[in-house]
Amino acid sequence: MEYSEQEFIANLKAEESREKAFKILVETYQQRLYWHIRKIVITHDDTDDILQNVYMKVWKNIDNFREDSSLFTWLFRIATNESLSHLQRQKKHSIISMNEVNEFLVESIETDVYFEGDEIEKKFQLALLQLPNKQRIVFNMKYFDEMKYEEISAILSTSVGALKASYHFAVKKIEAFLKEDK
Amino acid sequence: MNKKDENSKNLFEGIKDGNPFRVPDNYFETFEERLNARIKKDETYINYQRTLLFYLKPILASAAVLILGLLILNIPYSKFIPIEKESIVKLNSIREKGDYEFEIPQVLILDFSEQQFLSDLETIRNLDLKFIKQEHLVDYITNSYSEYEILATN
Repeated sequence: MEYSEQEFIANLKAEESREKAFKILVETYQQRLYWHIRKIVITHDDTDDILQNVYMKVWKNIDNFREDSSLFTWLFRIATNESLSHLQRQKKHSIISMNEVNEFLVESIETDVYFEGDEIEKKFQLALLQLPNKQRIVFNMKYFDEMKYEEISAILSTSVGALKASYHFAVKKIEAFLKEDK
Repeated sequence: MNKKDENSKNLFEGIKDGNPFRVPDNYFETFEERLNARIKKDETYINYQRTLLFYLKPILASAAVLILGLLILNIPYSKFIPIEKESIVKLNSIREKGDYEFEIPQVLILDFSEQQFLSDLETIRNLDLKFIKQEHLVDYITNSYSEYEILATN
């Protein structure tokens, strides 16, 4: 972006420059947000739907953005919350438990035409799905997206210490799952 | 993955450092277009709702004021909404006395009043029935009282 973040947010809030600034916002973050959401909800169709919801929320609520955090943090926070709400809705719409929702995600990986990983990668993804959803998000953000704990902390509103512990336990669980499954 | 946390270094041996998921062809290229279409659709719907509300607001407000007024003045809604009277009345005891035309008292009763009903009955009793046709009596009673009202006086 050519502008400073403050200028860019001002452009997003001003009616005459909103469309142009929004276009830049979409182009800049769509891929990062997409992959962040995709790793949480697994299927492409759900990801597409959630990603659109995220940008719709930004479009409607940009005037209410208080700039307490960076635009990046705000976008990722919305995306994470939307994804978790989606998983929650899946749970509500069925009589199955949250673990079984994860079983549904496991099934999605096995049948997804947009998953082209080999057996080892599939096993790794299945290991991730054994984790509680929030722990899985922490692991994804740290391991795949290589985000700093401070950044994750701002997005998930969780202390750095708690995130470190969460990531540590996630690693141990994945290791155990992969060893057990060998 | 050279910046991974110490705990995860060499953790998942054999796993490619790639992304096993993929997206449909041209997905990211067309995303913005689809998003804009959805935003426009959403705004059209919101504008429609706003327009509808704009026109409905004064009507709803007037209706609310009218209902409030009626409640305050204690005017029964039956003054405005006609109540259909039941037309099932048994009048076996009334015998036809003659074929003379008779003008039935035209008492318009909208709200049932037991006193009024008894007074009407008294009036009818005092009439010389030979001047009243049975069908006139039946018409009068069925048009003025419901079955419930007639039963209520017994």
